[in-house]
Amino acid sequence: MRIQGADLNLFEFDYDCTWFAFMLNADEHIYGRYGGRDAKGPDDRMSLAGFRFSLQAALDAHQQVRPASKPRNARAFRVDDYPAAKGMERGCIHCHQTWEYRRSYLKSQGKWSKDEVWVYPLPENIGLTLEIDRGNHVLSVAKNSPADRAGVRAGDAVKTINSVSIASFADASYALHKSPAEGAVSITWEHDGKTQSANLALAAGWRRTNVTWRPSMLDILPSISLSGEDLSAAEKKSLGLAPARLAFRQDAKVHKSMADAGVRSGDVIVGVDSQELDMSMTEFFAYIRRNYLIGEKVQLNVVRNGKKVDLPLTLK
Amino acid sequence: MRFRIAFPAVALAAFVAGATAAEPNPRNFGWLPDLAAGKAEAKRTGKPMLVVFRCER
Repeated sequence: MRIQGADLNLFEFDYDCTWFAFMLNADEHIYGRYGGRDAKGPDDRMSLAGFRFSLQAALDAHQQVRPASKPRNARAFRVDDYPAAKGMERGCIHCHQTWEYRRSYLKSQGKWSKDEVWVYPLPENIGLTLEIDRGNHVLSVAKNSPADRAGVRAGDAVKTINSVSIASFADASYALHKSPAEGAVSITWEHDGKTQSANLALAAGWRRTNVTWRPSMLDILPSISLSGEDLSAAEKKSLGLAPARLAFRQDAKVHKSMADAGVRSGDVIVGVDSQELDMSMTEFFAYIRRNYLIGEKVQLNVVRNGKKVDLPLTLK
Repeated sequence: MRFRIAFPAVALAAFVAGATAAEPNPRNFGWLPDLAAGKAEAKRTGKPMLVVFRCER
């Protein structure tokens, strides 16, 4: 059976992934999920031991929930139901196209916003790094993160996030995916054999991750056609810039799209939208892809003949 | 992308085998290609299902 036949109200997962597993009973009660990835690589968050751990948790839950399990009573929604999928019934729809069809639909309804980009946040976004082989065990907690402020510590075992049972990275990122863009999310965890609970504060922007690996977003992430060399520390000093600060000199050849925006050979690019960025030229290109979308208007901050110039630029 | 369904005791065997064999044939491990058939089997046996979505080559 192809993805076309799957009920997306039941099988909700990160459709940019190439592999994903659900554990559920005959009444469609989902015990757990396994899969997911980050920008480092497709297998970075998975292991056979971790999969076994997740399966065991599902089997344990199955023993507990089976007598009380009731059939799910939700209307099915399939990828074919998106207007943009019409006519694709005979072909193989790739999972990531689900995101693309959804985006197309939301845009047609005037309901799409940039917040829709930040799907399936990482546990690290609330300060948690989970073990790969035991997906609910806390490997480390980032200082001053929401999890840290709630009292979660390395070695603890997360039980639930947003009322979703946690036994894997996939469970955690799903629970966070269903959490608000700003507000709070509940968490329970075990520390020294005692169950603890708290609400984690979620500040605006907490969902942001590196989305540049996502095939569904290739057509909305911009590329900036600049080229050149990073300035030396001495050159930066002469411009009053710290050694780590972004500063690179545009090559003699200027791409037409940049020339049209006013960039000239020899310009020193020092930032965008007046942000103070400590990074190299290469990192700056990645920064643009990670933080902006095609069509967004920015100010390119340039030093030309010793004077600061801001060039309006529409990203492509 | 397609999905496959198995039942955990079988699925564990499949993945352990997958660690040593080049490309195990899913049918040898009881994978089903149809969700309705999987649900019927799960109801009959009382076992949970493992549903896998994956890219097909």
